[in-house]
Parts: sequence; C-alpha cells; structure tokens
Amino acid sequence: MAMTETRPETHAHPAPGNTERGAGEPVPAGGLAGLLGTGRSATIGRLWIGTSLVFLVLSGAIGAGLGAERLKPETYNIFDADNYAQSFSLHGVGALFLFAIPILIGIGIVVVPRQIGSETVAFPRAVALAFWGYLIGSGLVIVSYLINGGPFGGNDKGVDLFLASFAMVIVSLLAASVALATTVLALRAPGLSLGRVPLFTWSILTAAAIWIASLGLLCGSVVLLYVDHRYRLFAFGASTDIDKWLRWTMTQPQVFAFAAPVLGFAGDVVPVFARVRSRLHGAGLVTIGAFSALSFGAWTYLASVDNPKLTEQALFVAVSFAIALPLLVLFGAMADTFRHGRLSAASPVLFAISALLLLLAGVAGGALRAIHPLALVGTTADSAVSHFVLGAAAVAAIGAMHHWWPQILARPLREAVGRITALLLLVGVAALAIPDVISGLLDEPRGSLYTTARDGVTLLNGISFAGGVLVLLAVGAFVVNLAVSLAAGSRDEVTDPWDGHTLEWAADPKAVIIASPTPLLDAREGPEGGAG
Amino acid sequence: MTVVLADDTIGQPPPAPPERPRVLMLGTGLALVAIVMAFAGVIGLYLQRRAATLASGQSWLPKDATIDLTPGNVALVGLVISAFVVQWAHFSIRNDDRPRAYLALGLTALLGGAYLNSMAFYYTQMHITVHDPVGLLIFVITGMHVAMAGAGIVFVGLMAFRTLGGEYSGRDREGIAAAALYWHVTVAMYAVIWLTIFVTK
Repeated sequence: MAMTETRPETHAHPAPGNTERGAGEPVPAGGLAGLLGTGRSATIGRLWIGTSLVFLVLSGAIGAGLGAERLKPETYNIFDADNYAQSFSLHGVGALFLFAIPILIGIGIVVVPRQIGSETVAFPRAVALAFWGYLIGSGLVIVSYLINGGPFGGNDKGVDLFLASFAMVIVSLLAASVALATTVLALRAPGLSLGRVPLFTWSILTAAAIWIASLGLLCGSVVLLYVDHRYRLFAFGASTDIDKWLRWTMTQPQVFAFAAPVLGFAGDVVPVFARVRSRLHGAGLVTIGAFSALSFGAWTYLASVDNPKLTEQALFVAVSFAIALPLLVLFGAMADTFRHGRLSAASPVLFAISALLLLLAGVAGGALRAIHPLALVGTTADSAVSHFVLGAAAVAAIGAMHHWWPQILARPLREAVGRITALLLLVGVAALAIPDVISGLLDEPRGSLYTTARDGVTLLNGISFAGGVLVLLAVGAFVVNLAVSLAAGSRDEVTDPWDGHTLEWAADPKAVIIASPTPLLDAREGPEGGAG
Repeated sequence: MTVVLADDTIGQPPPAPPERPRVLMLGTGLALVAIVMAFAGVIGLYLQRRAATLASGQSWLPKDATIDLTPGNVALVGLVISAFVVQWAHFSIRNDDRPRAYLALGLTALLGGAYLNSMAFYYTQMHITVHDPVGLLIFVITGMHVAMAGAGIVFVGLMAFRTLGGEYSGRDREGIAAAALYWHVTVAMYAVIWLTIFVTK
C-alpha cells in the first residue's frame, strides 16, 4: 500500500485535447511502454473501459448462443450436456464480474477525479496494478472454462485455475473500488463538501462502499472453495456447487448494488439537458445512498447456500420491496426537474431514462420474486432480474460514454447513432427479460433446458432470443460508432459540449469557486439562478 | 462553449489550501473493511457449520485434534503487546522522538514475527489436517490471518524504512498511523479467531 502512495502525476490534468507540456516536465513514454507504465487516471480508466467492452461482447455472444439453444426445447443443438451449464455460468460471471463492475470502475476512474476537481485518482499505481490483475485474471478465467474448468467443469485443475483467477479478479476489483472511494473521500477540491458532490460521484462512492464489503466477503469464500477444491476434499461442494456460492451476487438484493451508479449517471444528466438547476440534489443524495444501502446483500450469502427459505424471510421480502422506494423518489425528482426545465431527446437523456426504466423493471422483478406464492425463485425470473439490472448498468455505461465523451474519448460519438443505440438497448433488454418473468410464472427452471416445457414457453423463448439479438445489434452499433469516432483521428478541442453544471466540464477546475453542487451554473447564472 | 470565469474570480480571496488529505489512512481503512468482511464470511460459515453439527449430536472437532489453549494464548498476549507497541511508535513520531519510533516499529515487526512462529508451532500441535472439513476451515481462517499478519509486518517494515529515511515527523505521521490502524485490526481479528476457534472450540 505504501508503494502506491506516490502520485505519478504532479501536474494538473490538461484540458481534453490539450497536449501542451510545461518546460522541464519529463516526456512520458509512448506506445506500449507508456501504456504498461502509465499512472495517468484517464489512461487507466480507458483501459478498464476498453477491456470490459470486450467482455461485454463475449458475454453477449455466449448469451445469444444460450438463447438460441432454448429455441428448440429438450434437445441440445448448439451446446451439449457438458458445456451448457458451463456456458451459462461463464455468461453470468462474464457479464457481472468481467464487464459490469469493471466498466463502471473505468468510467469512475476517468470521470470522478474530474468531477471533484482532483488531478488524479487516489493510489493511481494501485489502480493500474488492479487493471493488469483484472486483465490477467479475466483471461485466466476464460482459459479455465476453455479447458473444461470453472463451475460445472470436469477438469479439476481447470476448476482450481478458475477459483484462483476469479479471486485475482475480485481482489483487483476491490483495489480499484478502494481507490475510487478514497478519491471521493480525500481528494475533493476546496469547497466541495460531500453534500455538494455530483450525483455520479456520490453513487460511485456509495456503490464502492457496498462493493468493498460484499466483494471482500466473496473473496474469503472463494479462497475457502479454492483450498477445498485444491485438496480434493469437496467439503463445500464439487465444481457443480460453485455456482451456488456465487449466486447471491447475481440476485437481489446484491445485484442491485452493481447498478447503483445508474442513478448517479441519470441524476447528473437530466438537469443538464433540462437546462435547469437540479432542484432536488439533496433528495438525490439520500435516495442514491438508500438504494445502495438496501442493495447490500452479503447477509444473504450463507442463507443462499444453506437455507432455501431465505426468500421467505421477512427481511428479504421487506428489502425487496423497500428498494423500489428510493428509485421512485428519484424518478419523481427527475420528472420535477424536467417539469421546471425542458424536455430533451439528446442521446445521454435517452440512455439515462432507458437505464432507469430497466432498473425499475429489475426492482419490480425482484419484488415479484419475493412474493412467495408466485414461486419464482429458481426459475427463469432469476435470470430476468439479472438481465434487467445488468442491462441497466450496460445502458448507463454506454450512455456515460456519450455524455462524458470529452473526458473519456476526447472525440464525439454520432448523436443519431447514440439515440438509436439507446432505444435498441431499451427494447432489446425488455424483450430479453420480460418473457423470462412470464416463463418463470410457468415454472420454467433457471439455467437448464426444459424439464416442464409448456404451451407458450417456446414462443416466449423466441421473443427473449430476439431481444438478445437486438441487444447485440445495439452493442454492435455502439462499437462501430466508437470505432468510427476513434478512427477520426484528431482530438476535439471542445471541453463542454452540453453546458454542463459540474466541475468536470470546466477548462480550468482550479479557477472555479465552489459554493453549490453546480459551480459552473453558478458561474453562468449566479448562485441561485439569478442574473449573477 | 468553455466557461469563462475570469470576472467571477477577480477580487475574490484565494481559495483555502486543501487540508492535507489522509489518503493512505482512508485507503487502509477501506481495505480493512474488505479484509474484515472476508473473515466474516469464513468465520460465519465456521460457526454455522459447527452449530449444525453440534445440534445433530455429533462432535465438531476430529477425534485426534487437540487444540491446546496455551500456544493460542501466548500468540494473543504477544499480539496485544504489539498493539501497544505500534501505538507507542505512533506516539513517538507524533512527538518527533525518532529513536523511540524506530525502536517501537522494529519491536512491532519482531512481535509480528513471533506470532507467525507461534502459529507455525500451533499447527504442529493441533493434529488436524486440511483433508478434514473442520481442519480445512481452521486452516483457511488461521491461514488467512497469518497472511494478514505477514502483510502487516511488511507494511510496518515499509513505514519503518520510510521513517528511517526521514519521511515522517510530528507534522506528517499518516503512514505510521495507517500501519498502526492495520496492525490494530490484525490483532482484533486474531482475538475473534482465538475466541471462536481456540476457546469455544
């Protein structure tokens, strides 16, 4: 830890596009050496983002294969009995641990320091080390599945490799989460109290706090499983049981913690495009904090392994319903903001609203799972909740790249393509997940081919598959949009294309006086929206 | 569309210098949350499995296992002393008493080493094996703690070398405070293990 204390950057972030360097300042290494040795927040964040996008495509492709497999019930067409469950497991692990959390971390690493007026993220070297750990660990996770390891694997050494590399990924995510939370707590600009931080920064702080606690616990249990499996004792289950130990992270309430930054993203985007000062910043802080706190699911970890009656417990039911409340309050606050401003159909707004709607659907699905007489637990409704929530995280992450393109990409993305991407993602994820809720009501089990195929389920699976294809198309559109933008070459000099309200849009954050959550708006309009 | 702020800043007093950020202290605290949660998971599992086994009328520890309290007590006493010693290091550096700070940091690392030694001895006396479910749990929990203590020794050692290099003083003692915090949690964690595994068995 001490080794990471030294900050590699002692100069301020140049404005996007500004590559001027002061006299006497060392010229940073370029090319691969520069990439490997970088301690610059923006570069490290981009590495996280780019790598996680690769895993999004991989996980999405596997998901499409699984969806296609379900089109013809009770027979294997693409996979076989051996690798179907493994592919299902890789789809889940890849979507959550290799894509959703890392991309939110990457965006946080780029955006959060700028939002709080810091020159860098805390422990930049540790964050860089965490990235390389994540990259190598993720690669080994994939390799472990390829050699018939991983959950449901038949190769014991492959299963060992999965557990060890998965622990490496978790530790890397933990290190990055610690750095992000420390950045927000310790490196804020003068005047920027915690009550004034932008909602995205706040959501990253609250989410990181939950991630630190829950991933820490997960890490301990993975170490235990590794030792158990390494010595071939299988006291805590064979490879077929590993999935059981991870499942609490992929269902409610814990899975909601991985989408908490969705709220912060939407909370920052809406006032900017409504062209009005955020009226309910305090409410936003409270609701995001409450959402994150309610999503803490480590307490379900033991029960999810040993206690099948967990979902009948009063606390589980109460949390499943209560978590909808902060979300609804935030929706109300945003509607109020739009009512006092003007409606906009810019791509970041479409992404923000789409992500919020999907998250709300996920929360509603979770509440349905908590209604015991419906008997949805263990059915395809489980997958539906995960798809809604991780879909919301993906939509918000892609939306964040459209919104914060000067910070993340330094080149604009095509607005029209962005709008189409947002709508495609909304429709695609909804079509992917809603049929699974209905199938769940028809008792279709999660993660296996049909055992009780009923009338209509095949049709529902067809709709779900079509939804998955739409999602892949949307991701493809975004990747092409991104590639075209990056291939355009020169960086755009624009620092604030949206007339933003918060510090990340300032050309010189140090020159900004912070007396409210919207310092740039204060500079334009005066502290309370007056003539200033 | 860059915002021009020149007019707004003219005539304003310069912003207050930022307070010295306690980055290392905060980072250490947050990392410790993750570590404590990792222990909470495995110790919780240990207690749950033990309660279920005892409730079914079976004995928890394997037949040949002998968890004698003496080595565990010795380790606990050593660690508790080391907690006071590391606090002494912090107190000394706060008063710019560098020689005593060096001594205290060195003693902390030494007592940490003594703890590792006592655990190694303990393992030879327990007659448990990793090939037994209970033994596996005990080895994982105590092994994780040995790793935590080892990392703590490295942390304290690094801070000691930094202090020797003149880095810390009464005005800036964050590194030593962070190492002390880490060490206190290490000791507290051992106390939990001592109670849940060695005492209550």
